[in-house]
Amino acid sequence: MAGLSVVIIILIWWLRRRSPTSNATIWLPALLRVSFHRLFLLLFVFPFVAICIFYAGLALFDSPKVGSVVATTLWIPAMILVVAPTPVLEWIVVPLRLPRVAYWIGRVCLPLGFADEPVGGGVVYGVLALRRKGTSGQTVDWLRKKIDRTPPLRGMGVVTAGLLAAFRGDDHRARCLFLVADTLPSKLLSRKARAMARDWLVVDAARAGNWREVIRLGRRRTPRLRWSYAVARIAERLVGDKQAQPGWLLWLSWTLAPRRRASLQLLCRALAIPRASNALATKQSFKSDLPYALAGFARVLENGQACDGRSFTTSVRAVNAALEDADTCAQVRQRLIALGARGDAEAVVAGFRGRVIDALANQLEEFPHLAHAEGAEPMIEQAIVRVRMRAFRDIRARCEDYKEREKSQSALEVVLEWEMWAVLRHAADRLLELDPASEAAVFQTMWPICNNFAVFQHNICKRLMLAYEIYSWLQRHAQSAPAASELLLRNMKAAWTQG
Amino acid sequence: MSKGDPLADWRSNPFFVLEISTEASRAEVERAGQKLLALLAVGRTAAEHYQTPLGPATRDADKVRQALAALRDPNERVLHELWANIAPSGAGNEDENVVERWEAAASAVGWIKKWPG
Repeated sequence: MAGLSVVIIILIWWLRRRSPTSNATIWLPALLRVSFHRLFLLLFVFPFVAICIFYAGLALFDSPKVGSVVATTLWIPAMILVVAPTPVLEWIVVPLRLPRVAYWIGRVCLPLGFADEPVGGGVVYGVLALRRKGTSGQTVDWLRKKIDRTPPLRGMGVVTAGLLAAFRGDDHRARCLFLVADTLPSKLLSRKARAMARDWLVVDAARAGNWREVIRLGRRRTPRLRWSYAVARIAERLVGDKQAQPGWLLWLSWTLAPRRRASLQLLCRALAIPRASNALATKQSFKSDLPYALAGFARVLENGQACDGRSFTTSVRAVNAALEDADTCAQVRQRLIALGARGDAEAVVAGFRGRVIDALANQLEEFPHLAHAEGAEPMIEQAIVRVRMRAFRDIRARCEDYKEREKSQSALEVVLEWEMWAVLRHAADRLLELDPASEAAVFQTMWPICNNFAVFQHNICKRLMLAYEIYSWLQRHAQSAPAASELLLRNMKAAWTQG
Repeated sequence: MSKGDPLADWRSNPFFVLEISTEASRAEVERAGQKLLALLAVGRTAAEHYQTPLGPATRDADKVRQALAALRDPNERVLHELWANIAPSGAGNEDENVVERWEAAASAVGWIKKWPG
């Protein structure tokens, strides 16, 4: 007995030393924690409930048999629920469209993928049950309140906020939240929750035909997730990427991934394309007269997500060449005379060019990857300038809101705060993707205000993970300011240690 | 999971909306516009749809009036003529570069219905 006590004391001491959090807590692996929780339910809670049912039956029906039959009948499903809540939820409760039941089972029985955030896990299953149902405003509000009341909101809460946004049709906000969730450290987000976020993003990109984004998401190293990885590999073959795998490796990736039936058709499509066929290479040559140049330009605009930068630049170059052609100006002059107009042909052509640049700016805002091609094209450069100005204006406006709220010490609900941060971060990330050279300017615009706001969230609102996420994003882009980078690292450490 | 249509403004070119050639005279422009307004006023649903070189589109009385107003200004008209004179798709440059979308992706992960909102 003495020896056992010594072993237990040494174990507790070792676990406390391993704890990344404050001295008062003991760190336990999620599996161990869930096992203790389930043992507690099985050995104490459910027997207590069974005894109560037994005596209730005895009192009501004056027969011990009724109570014992009921207690025994309920005991078996209760055991299954406690031991294996995930299959019960995914195969029975969610298809039966019982969102509140799904929430409580997730909350109480701790499915393994969501053990660290039981409320978040419950809400996830609640939303999954809800989306198959189609509509229930009251239940969505009820689920949202569960998350809002759960401090502190960690990674699972961000995924839940994203699911709720997607469910109400706000795809942009959902995308921003899932992009944040996908880049959270693995200690903040379970693998299962990350898979949900990444799968949504992959589906969103694949439905739009944005295969480059599918490849970027699926090929992420930490951590690699089976389904998104398999779809990314299939996408490489579809677009003729240089790193496309041979057929047998594609089959292997597909076999090891879930949802094989759903992705089989996509796999067959990919295998029908020869390896490294470079489907998106610029094969087309754009004719230089304006009607044909415009036809090519229209195709590139329509298929922006599927095009590469080279096709985009080539089509814009063709339009530019047609506009600079003396014949175009002469035709415009002729038409002006025929219509009795007093305008200047050069002014009309300049106006036309301005509208082309507007269309380019809209396209680049949506698909920044199109800006990265060899050979500068003046109209694209001007479009980038316009997009950059718009993006900076948007970022400044959001930072002003942070500044005002930090000054007045007013915080929104935690889900809304995550949404606001996710949208701001997304805007900044898009700008940096479009124009990497503006990183220093973006950082200088955002860092003092966002850092102070994060400190407010950290110290006053105790939203440590939100603060950590803001600090870490700023720190990643702080190469131009070493002193700020040091401060942000200290803040990150503080938030992580207390979180 | 839908994105904005980058060609929506282009399809609303006044010549496409009124379904007339860029060489139409002023009288022909007015006649086409008034005819469409009359058809839309009596509720002819066929008049709400029109074809463009960039695919089908829809119109209403407001759009038709805006098209007529744009073509009454000669400088504006020349600008719209440039946009409307587009080669038919498939002529000259075949687009071999587009990889199709995966429309069934949502059902692969069970995203079947959305809350109407």
